[in-house]
Amino acid sequence: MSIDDFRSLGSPPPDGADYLHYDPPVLLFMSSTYDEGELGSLIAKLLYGIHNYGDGEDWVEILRFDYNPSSEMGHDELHADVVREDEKAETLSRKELEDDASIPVPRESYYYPHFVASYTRDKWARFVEEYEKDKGMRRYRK
Amino acid sequence: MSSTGDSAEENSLEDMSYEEIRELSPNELVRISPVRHHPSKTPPEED
Repeated sequence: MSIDDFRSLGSPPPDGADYLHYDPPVLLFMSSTYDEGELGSLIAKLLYGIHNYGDGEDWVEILRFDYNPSSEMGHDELHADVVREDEKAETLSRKELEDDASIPVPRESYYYPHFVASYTRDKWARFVEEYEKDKGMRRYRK
Repeated sequence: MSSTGDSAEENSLEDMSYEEIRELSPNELVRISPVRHHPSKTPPEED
């Protein structure tokens, strides 16, 4: 996939959460804002359900992307934070993401949400397995 | 989606700032978000 291919992907992923898996429950949450065609902010979170699907819900965050050059809480370079107990445990730099991904990191920030959605949908199982390993459990089965 | 038991102000994503969304707990985030199911998978049957 080339950079140009991002242009064919159309609208950015819609805000909200998408189920990636049900047993255990896994959600990809995304929220992005645009200002005159430029990406203003992006938050994406990979959420893991400690509950069983259909039961009372209890979610934890295991991976986070946040991009917002104009916010003190934001960042001006795309990266991912591995999260444990609500705290950043490890950071994956843009280069590490690019080395890991099957698609390039776009040069234009407009396409960051497209990249993040594609990357996370491709790699979520590995992050879930790492989380379960850290917690000493094994619920996810391929 | 069921309630998560977090403090439940009636917010929606559209009304919230980047900072507010970033700081939301995962349970609250799911509670206020549109949640979409995987088109090629059927959720497990609920008893």
